[in-house]
Amino acid sequence: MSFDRRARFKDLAGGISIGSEEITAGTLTGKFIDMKDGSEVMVSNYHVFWGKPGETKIVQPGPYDGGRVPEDVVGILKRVIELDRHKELPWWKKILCIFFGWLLEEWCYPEMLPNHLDAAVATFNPTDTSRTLLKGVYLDDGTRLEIQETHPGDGINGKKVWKSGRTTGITKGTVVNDKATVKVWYGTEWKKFEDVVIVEGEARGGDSGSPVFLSTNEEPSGSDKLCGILFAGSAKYWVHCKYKYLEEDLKVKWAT
Amino acid sequence: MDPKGMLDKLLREEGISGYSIQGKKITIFVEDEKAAMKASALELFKEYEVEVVVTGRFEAL
Repeated sequence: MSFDRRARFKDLAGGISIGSEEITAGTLTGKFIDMKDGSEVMVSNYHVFWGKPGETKIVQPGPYDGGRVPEDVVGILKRVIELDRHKELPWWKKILCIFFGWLLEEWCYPEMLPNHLDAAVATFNPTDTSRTLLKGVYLDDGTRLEIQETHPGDGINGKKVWKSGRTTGITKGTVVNDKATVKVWYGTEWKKFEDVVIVEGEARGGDSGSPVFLSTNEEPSGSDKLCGILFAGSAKYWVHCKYKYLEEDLKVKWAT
Repeated sequence: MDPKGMLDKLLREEGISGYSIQGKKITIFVEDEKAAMKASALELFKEYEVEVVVTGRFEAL
């Protein structure tokens, strides 16, 4: 029988079905370390772990693949990167704007921060305590590959990459642009992202959250490097966020 | 207007999927051939080499 990424796993790792109780299904990026408290956590896109931090339950497999509350709960949404954030005004500007905001309307409007990342972090505390969260990523034959190194995601134009996703499994691609600004359709609205990577390669609905690796050989190997997290795509291309923003903004590190 | 400002404005238009500025090269990503024609016809970036790539529409997966 072939390996089923949409099944319920006892040992969780990157590349399998997951989702918050509020969505259909996406892909678990993998096991990370929360740089804020040192705990072991799960990471995927925010639109895969969609919900309220501290409240929303994460199920494996995702609800569309049969994951249910409470038996399939593996954690709780912990922290997210909100999209379309605004830069906080300095204290002196806040005071001026309280009194003169009616006059300085445009000057007082906080500058919008660019979106670099569609990502969220969840705790790992499964209802079924026999379930574990393991390092690395699942390959198409069901074996798990541990990858030790990471890459910020910059300067990889023309390089070969691969991803491991819930819907299309392992697919390979070539980076066509490593510093792109794109707009992405989220079902009801467009969101603009800056400094993302466009890859000529296959991905489909449910592959969001796939870990993306920089290849060192023809086939996936332990010497490859995690370079991003897939979040969008079209018929022949996918778009991923750079790994560096997971550390800089979400404050998580790939578990090695 | 700087090229980034112009490209940000262009990005709001239907059929435009994205852009990139790398040195003296601008790449415009578009949804289809129709949008590619529209992007190719732009004469806003005379100092740049402009490439148009048909990528399709990007959607959250």
